[in-house]
Amino acid sequence: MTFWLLLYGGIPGVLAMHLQRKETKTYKIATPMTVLVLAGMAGTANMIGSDNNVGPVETAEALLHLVIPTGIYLMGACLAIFGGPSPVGPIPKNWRRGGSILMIISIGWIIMLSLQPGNLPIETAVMNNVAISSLLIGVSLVGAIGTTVVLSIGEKRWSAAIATISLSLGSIALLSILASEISEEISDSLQSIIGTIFGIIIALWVAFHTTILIEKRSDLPKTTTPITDEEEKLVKRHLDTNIRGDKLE
Amino acid sequence: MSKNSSFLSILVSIFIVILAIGWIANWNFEDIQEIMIDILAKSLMTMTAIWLILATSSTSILHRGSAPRLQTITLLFLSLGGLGLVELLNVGVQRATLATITVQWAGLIMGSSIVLFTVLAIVTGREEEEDPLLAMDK
Repeated sequence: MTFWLLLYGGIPGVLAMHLQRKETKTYKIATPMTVLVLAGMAGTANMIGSDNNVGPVETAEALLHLVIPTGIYLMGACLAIFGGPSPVGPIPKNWRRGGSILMIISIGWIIMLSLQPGNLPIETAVMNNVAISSLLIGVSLVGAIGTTVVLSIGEKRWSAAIATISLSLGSIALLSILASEISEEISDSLQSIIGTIFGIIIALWVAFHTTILIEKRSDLPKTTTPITDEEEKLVKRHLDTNIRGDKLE
Repeated sequence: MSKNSSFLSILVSIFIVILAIGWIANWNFEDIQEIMIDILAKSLMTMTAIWLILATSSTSILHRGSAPRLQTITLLFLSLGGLGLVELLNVGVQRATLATITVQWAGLIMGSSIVLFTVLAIVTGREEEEDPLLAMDK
């Protein structure tokens, strides 16, 4: 439990500390706190293996297996987006085709990871079935939403709509092929994803309204005393001098 | 398309995909109570994680007055309440559950980013672009 508390509580906390201005005390203790949080995570993650449950090490392994194809895909997409005739930052020009090839390679990798993970050059992760089922459900759901959004915009972006619907249908097809072997994982991932969508909406709604409620009831900062007649005259004189060009008396 | 009808069509498309995957995963109407309890438990876990992340990430603004302090404490209590509700559902938060849901969240995020970047790559890559430096010579 400590590992997960540090992951979901400690990491956002130290990240927020690092975002402070450099002269603040919070910023000065950010690095030692980060070291403590990371050490705590390392210390609690190595307790895995005492029972046969999956834990942080297996989670990290599954995430690494997901990050490889997804990272290649996103890198390819960035090259396809920014690799036009004009160079953008560190991205070289005329790399759109290369980016598209990288995207296709990573789709092939994901298909291999789903259907024949044993044939890949890396060992299959313990939680591969959970990872791949949630990835495919995510692609199919967001692909369907993307298709609807692209079509409802109505600028005849047919190629984008075809790509998103193909991703969605392809993922559903892969899930149906895998259904005989990992139907339990697919069911669990689907329940989790539906729950996650509801959870995000409700949590953000509650947090937003709590903030509004607290901010409304908080004390207003002390206001300054109203300006005196003398100060008013001084301001008027300065305005006359600077705007109308009157000479200062 | 109006805002209402596009929102409705998004909901319909989500519903169709969920039905299709539910059918693939052999969901039965007899087990609907178990499925709903699991969805409820997962949404409570998500809420707990989000409130915890929001509470801990707002610790750096605590010195700005009583309002941020109250806000952080409220969010921490909300996350504790979320954990309590999960326990009330008799689901329990175990190490395996936390590991599985973390991988599932990561899968959902990566799947969403794949679709988003595909749309961006197609929409931006389709337009014929000209090098502004070369165009100056013409």
